[in-house]
Amino acid sequence: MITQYVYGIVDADVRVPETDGLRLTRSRRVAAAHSEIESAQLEGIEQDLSESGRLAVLARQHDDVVRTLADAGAVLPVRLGTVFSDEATLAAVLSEAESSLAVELDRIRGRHEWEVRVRAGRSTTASESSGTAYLLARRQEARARDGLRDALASVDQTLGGFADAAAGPEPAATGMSRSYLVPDALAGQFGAAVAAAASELETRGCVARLSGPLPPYRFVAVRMEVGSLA
Amino acid sequence: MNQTNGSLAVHNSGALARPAPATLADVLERVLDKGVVVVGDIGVTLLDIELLTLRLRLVIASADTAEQLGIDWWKGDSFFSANTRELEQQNRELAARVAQLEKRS
Repeated sequence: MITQYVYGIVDADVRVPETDGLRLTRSRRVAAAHSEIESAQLEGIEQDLSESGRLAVLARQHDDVVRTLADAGAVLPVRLGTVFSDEATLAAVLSEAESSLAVELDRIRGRHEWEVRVRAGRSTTASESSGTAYLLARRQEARARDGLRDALASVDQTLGGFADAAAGPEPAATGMSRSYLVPDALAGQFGAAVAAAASELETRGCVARLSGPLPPYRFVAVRMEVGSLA
Repeated sequence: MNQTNGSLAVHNSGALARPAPATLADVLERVLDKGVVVVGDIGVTLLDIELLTLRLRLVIASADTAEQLGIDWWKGDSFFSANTRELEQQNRELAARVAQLEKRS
């Protein structure tokens, strides 16, 4: 059965490249970006988790399209694997949820997600030659771990100052993996702060990685209820 | 897009690791996390994301089994694989240390 796979919600007046079968279904203020998919293509897709499997292909395509939409304007990413039976159903759900979607679009407009990942350096304790040196080194290492956790918490606080919101687990002694929703106007300052933090963390043997600007994947959580249309 | 230029400048500066191309692990982590969720069963099909996430976690947790099945996409991601390498290295070092101590006694 031919169904409609939805990638994201955008402003109704946005101009997106309608290539590769990408189409917009519009309500008054918002639009859903979607393309046709044969529903059989999704059946049992979670059974194949290999790099070249159907799930991998779908996930990458989903991410590509959402990024394309983010290049054109504000976008609310839709959860992977959301399929409507036809465009009429999609249009009905869209107009039903329109006002909350429009509010969410305004909230993330002019903002992007940035991912900061820091990995702590490798432990060197086991290479110490004598028993005393080994124990001393272990004690030092425990202190360094506490120090690193505090340093990362402080980095998180600094970066959070440029962001509307932050997401991800609290920084730990092993590293951090945090996402920030940063207004585009502050992206330069945010980037400089990350670079400064990375230099400081490098002296502690850490590796820092920054990814962005990304669509606001981790900062959009909207439920569109379909049941009320029945 | 303006921000892209900004991000390149950021990426080129000093201590930051070069941005690795997004691995499947990265992509899945992003697209599975949140987003607009359509609830209801009229005219809508959804992947069972909870089940999928659990299966993915299980795969990463049981690396050996996964490798036998030819599933190894997280190995390219240092944030998933560094731990394994680190543990292997630690094991080797500890084994060497034990051997050294045994010789001495």
